[in-house]
Amino acid sequence: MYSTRLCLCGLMRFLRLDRIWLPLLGLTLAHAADSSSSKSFHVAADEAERSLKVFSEQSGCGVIFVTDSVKGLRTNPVKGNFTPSEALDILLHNTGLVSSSDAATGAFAVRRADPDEPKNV
Amino acid sequence: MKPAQGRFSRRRDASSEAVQTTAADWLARRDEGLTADEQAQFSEWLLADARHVAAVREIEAAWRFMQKPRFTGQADLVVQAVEQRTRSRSKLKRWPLFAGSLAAAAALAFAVVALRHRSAPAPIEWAGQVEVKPERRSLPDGSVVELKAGTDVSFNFSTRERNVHLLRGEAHFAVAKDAARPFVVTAGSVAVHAVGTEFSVRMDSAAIDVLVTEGRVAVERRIANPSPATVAPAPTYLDAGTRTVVPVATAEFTLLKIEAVAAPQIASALAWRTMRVEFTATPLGEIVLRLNQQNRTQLALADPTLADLRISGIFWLDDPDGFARLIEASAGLRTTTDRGGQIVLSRR
Repeated sequence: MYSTRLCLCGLMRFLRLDRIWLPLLGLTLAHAADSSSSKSFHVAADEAERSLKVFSEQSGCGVIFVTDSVKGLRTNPVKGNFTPSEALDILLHNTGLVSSSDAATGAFAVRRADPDEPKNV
Repeated sequence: MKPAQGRFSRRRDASSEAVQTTAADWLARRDEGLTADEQAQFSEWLLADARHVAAVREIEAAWRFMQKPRFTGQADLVVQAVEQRTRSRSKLKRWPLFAGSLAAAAALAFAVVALRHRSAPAPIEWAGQVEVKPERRSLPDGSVVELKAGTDVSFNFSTRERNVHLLRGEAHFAVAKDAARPFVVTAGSVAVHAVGTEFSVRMDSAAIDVLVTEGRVAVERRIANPSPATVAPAPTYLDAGTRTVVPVATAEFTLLKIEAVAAPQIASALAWRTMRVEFTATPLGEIVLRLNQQNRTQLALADPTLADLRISGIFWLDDPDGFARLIEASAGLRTTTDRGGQIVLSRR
């Protein structure tokens, strides 16, 4: 792992990329309760207990759910740039779980959908 | 403990069981702290087989979910049971094969009984605690930045400078030493230079607040449009245990005021770093207890059986109102505020 890093640095220095590329490597570590901004998501399909927490880490938004309500349920993968709300919708699509967001904190509550409630489309 | 590699090198095939046990062993040792040699051994083992990396990831995830102390104890028993089976299997004679399988069965039975014994009381004791989970990001140079809720930070590293831009909120920086590249955090018109230190920067509409917890930083005001005649003011140096608060409306050439900050004040200023927590099947009663310890606004459960309701997620301990709203939505409870200003959670 360490040697790979050295090789890359060497290569970049050889191609003079360090003068050009690294400065362009400006990246945003944005963590905002601002739910309208798009973020990059990379959540693997997994058990809901785990994936909901991964979603929380990647979105920077809080997530709360009753442990039993998600037991045994697997969520969909999410890859790409989305708002936290969009990403969560993709995550929970067709799982029987629904989410609601809290305007003040930007956090999400996840629960089982009622049988007669319209499912996530 | 003997090196894990030595223990399992006798086995002819690296069964997934051995990999799992070795991975658990390495993780336990890593937690205790690895020497440089051990670190190299660990890296070698990880690179040897893709399954090794997968096993480590799996176990790390399981530990986070199940609580480390318990799992380490179980891993020891698994190792013992597996070792017993290895020993009995490697005796390549006929009749001891029968005795060996008996021994293996006995060992397995023992392990199962012992494990069951161990794990039976577990769900009530260990499952569900409140684990502090700061929002941490690593920068390419190894520096670590912790973000408070609602913070916006961007970074731009070149070969000559490490630039970080705090757009909004509050962040704590643990800067990796790199004398060749100064680390500069810009917040509004204030720039904080560091070489290898720890400090936090808070930015809101009124002021920019810099608090140093370790080492020394240089704080300067960046002049927006310097004319040829303007002389940039000398930077102000801040050592550990000092802070400077720069009001946004201050004129550019005002001297920055340095205040000494006592340890308790530092602790309360940086308390936000321990506010973000993770729940894993945590009893609601325990969460309410922790929230009430932290906040003036108190929560109460109308129905005592609600205390056993298991909750999972990630949230902040300094927002009882927010938590009450989310519990209402996720658990289908009702919230009311009583005369004392207490938030009461009840079943519908």
